[in-house]
Amino acid sequence: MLFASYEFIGFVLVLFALYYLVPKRCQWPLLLIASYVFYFLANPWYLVFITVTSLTVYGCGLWMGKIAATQKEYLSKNKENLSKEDKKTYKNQMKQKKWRVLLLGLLFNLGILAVIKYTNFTIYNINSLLHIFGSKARIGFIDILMPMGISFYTFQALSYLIDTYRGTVEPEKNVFKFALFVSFFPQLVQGPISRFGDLSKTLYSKHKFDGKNVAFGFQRILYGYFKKLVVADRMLIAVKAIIAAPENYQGAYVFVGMIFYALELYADFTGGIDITIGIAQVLGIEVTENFRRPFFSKNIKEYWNRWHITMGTWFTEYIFYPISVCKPMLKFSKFSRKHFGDVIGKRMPVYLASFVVWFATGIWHGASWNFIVWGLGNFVVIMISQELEPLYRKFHNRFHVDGHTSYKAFCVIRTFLLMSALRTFDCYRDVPLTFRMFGTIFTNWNWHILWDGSLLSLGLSLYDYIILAVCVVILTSVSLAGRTGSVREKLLKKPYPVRFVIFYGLLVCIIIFGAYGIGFDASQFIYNQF
Amino acid sequence: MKIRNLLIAGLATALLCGCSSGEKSIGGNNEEAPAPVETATQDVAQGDTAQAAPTGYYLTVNDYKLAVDQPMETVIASMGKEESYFEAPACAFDGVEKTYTYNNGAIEVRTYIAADGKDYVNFVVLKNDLVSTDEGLSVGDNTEKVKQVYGEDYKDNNGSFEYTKGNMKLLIVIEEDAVVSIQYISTAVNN
Amino acid sequence: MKNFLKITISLLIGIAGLFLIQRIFLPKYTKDVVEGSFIEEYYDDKPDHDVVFIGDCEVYENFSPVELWQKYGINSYIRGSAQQLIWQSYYLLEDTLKYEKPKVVVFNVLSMKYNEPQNEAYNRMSIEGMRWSMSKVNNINASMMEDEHFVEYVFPLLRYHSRWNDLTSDDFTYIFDTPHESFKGYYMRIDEKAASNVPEGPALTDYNFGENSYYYLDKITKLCKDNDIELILIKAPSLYPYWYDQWDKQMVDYAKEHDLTYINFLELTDEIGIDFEHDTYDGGLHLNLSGAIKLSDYFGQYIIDNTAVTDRRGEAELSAKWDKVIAEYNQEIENQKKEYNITD
Repeated sequence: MLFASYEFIGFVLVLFALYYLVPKRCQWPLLLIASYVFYFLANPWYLVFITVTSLTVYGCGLWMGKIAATQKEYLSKNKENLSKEDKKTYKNQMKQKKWRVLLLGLLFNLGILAVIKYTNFTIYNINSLLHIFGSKARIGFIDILMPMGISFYTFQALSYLIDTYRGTVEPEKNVFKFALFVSFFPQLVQGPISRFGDLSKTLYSKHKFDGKNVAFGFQRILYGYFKKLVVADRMLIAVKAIIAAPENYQGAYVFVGMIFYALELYADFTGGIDITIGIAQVLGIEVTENFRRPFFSKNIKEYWNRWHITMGTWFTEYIFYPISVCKPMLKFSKFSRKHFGDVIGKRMPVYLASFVVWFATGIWHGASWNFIVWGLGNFVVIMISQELEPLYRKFHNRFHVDGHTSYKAFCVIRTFLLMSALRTFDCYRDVPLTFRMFGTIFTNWNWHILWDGSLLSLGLSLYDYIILAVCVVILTSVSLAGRTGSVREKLLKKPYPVRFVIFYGLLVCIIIFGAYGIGFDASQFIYNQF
Repeated sequence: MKIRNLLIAGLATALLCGCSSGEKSIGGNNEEAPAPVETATQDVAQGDTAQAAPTGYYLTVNDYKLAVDQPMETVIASMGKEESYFEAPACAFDGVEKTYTYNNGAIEVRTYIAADGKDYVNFVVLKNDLVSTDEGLSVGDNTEKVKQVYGEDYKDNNGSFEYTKGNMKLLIVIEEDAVVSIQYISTAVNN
Repeated sequence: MKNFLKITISLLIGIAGLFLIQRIFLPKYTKDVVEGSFIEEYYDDKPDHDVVFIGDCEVYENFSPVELWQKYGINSYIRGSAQQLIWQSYYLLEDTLKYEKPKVVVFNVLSMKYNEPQNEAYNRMSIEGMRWSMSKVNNINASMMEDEHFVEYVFPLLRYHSRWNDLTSDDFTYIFDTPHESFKGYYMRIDEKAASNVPEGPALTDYNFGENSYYYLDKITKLCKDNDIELILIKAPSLYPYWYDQWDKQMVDYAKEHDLTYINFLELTDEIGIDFEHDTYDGGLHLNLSGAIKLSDYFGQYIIDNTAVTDRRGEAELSAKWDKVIAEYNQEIENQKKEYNITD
């Protein structure tokens, strides 16, 4: 069941009705059932994977909780008898125990993820090596079932595990409640990656029908479908045409494809998240925001704080920080400062940690080199801009451009272009080809295609381009309006007929201008595959 | 004369299979008119007589390699005027399936319309033994000869032989142990 | 209470608006593909026909009910549609029987060759004109192609939404009602294009009609038997698509086995007097008016001689209704003469 399918819309509407009809204590169990049904309908075998992950993480969580409880009890019982030293030794012992449990949970579940996602990639690389060394031997690829959203729910479950280890969340005792946390269907497919501490606040509570909340939820769902069906799926037609025929579409076409792909991905992904958060809101559940107007970022670092936020936070929280403060890293830090001097030495550990994070981010998106190169591309750009920071500052001070609107606009456009350029790696999905195509933007000077009607060969009519232009204006305006607080709250202050016309108009727009049905390719949300 | 604006763009080309085509032997559903084979269209565009090598079996007629999915324009330019011509319009919608006959009725070429609105070779049929295939099979040969010429890697289609190669399949229809028809079928339009 | 009122009114306006938009977006089948409007037109006719034809273009382009009436007083109707598949014929018959019980049902057997759904656009033209009933529901389910959704038949706006840049003034003029395009289901053409070089069909690997085709032929047969309706199977005298001898034999055998009449008009063209130089408008696929009149004359005689159908020209009310149709029919002949530059 894709978000953009009649089945899904029917499924969600029935669920909404049931949710507010059943006794309130049955609400969260109903969600669990719905989530499992949702997953079952996608493929019955998926349930095995998600259940195993849920159970093992739940078990490890309980185990660590028990260790923590034992520790607490022991310490309070022997408060007087133990010296400070003894307490410390005991605490360390218990921490070791917890660490072992954590490691078990992590390795087991990351193992599943690794085997499912990366086996064939590994085989591919081994085969490439064999080829390089002249061997004719090849390993056959394995047909592996890849459960929908496995990267998302595994990361979500592991964040709980690590938080329990750190003691920032109490282990969940009810296995069903925990299973719901892992499988909550609106975010199962493409995130956001919620943390237990956040989601559990509203996931299990009893929810009374709140008209405003439900209306807001529906409004957000509508806006999500608008982005997805009217904008993203329409642009996708042109993007697909361009990447399908690299020999025909070069130069300015690649540039157009690059911009379109960035916008398409934005509309598709944020649209999907709008639907997710909207559904949760109708149910009275609060899901963490995943985007904050990313295309208004003035530099890449800021961009990554505003795009796919929950994933960025995950990597920072659970990979960057732990690596930065782990013992070998501290040793390395000392070593490098001693050998390379303060300036470079201080940076080495940060770079190393960042490198690991961006490599992981890349490979998390997909098991192929284009994603790794894309991830590392981000790393390089961020590092360079960090290194050039003093230079920028000099420039700013000299020309007093800071705070200037035109300079801000320049930064925004620069960041957007840079990010779009990096994205071409996951557009063509072939590293050498991407470089070649990107090069043609500068070598193949054919900008006349922008106005001589050539763009009409990409499967979109003039009307489609007009619709897209209008939509981009709408999306931008809504984003701008959102800077000073919730757009829906603002609309709420308008008279009812105005609101009715706006949202009814949105619905009609989706139905009429949506790029769905016969004649349009039913495209999945791009993030389903990660 | 008939509409184009009635249904969404592109659908009209998919409507060919009306009541005028889609025999069982060619697989039935012509639902999707595919984009023409890239190399073939380029030939026409450049007015280039040099042929792109067909990926499947083809039939050489007067040094011309006749294959499925070629633009009919090129076929006509290379093979000369047909002996007879027939067109079958689709019921209700736009679209015409054309049949050209060559070599004393031995070769029949039928077309489909692709997304670009042009005719392409849908299938080529050898109807009698006046012409043999490039590999040396003719109508009238027995099943042993078929296996001898085209090998054992075939699909049994109700006693007939089906060989798949490239973008086409070669269907050799057998009746009472004898070849009665040899058909070069585009797999782009006939699944 | 105030809230309740607000929501109710909003919902009413919303639904009415969507309904209106849907009506605008539905294809009107007025100018070009008039065949799309035939199925729906049936419901405007008084349902007391003695003969009902079901089938594809080989019935609605080859038989003229007006001729059957004028010459024999046979009150008939053609429930034909482009590439009507056999299960569509069955469900249309089921639908027809909800309104009337004809004495004779005529089914053209060409569609036996299609065992599976073929084409979404043709399906739409055969199905959408039907009134809602279980017959329509079953028809949709039997006809849907892959990637089609039932809900798109219930709310056709979801199917036709992308027509927004193809809308014409007709779509607004005929929002609620479209003009009649057929003459009791007959599609008239008076122009000529001689048949020549009609190719034989290529050899097939399997000449047996599919299981599904037979399943529905059985159902049509049973439905007629259960309702005391005489079923006549015909193969219209269209030269193309090619009608194989092997197919014909199966129909002969089927008719014998089920005690039905099967008439292959392809074998009777000389007797009927069809001249494929002049009696077809598209090179042998479909007859023009002159051909249809000849075929109707022949078949009308058969019906009068061999079935319970009688001459009803004596019924004043019915005659008056037919007179109106005949007037329009003659007007259309004049119009087409002008269109195709034909002088007598």
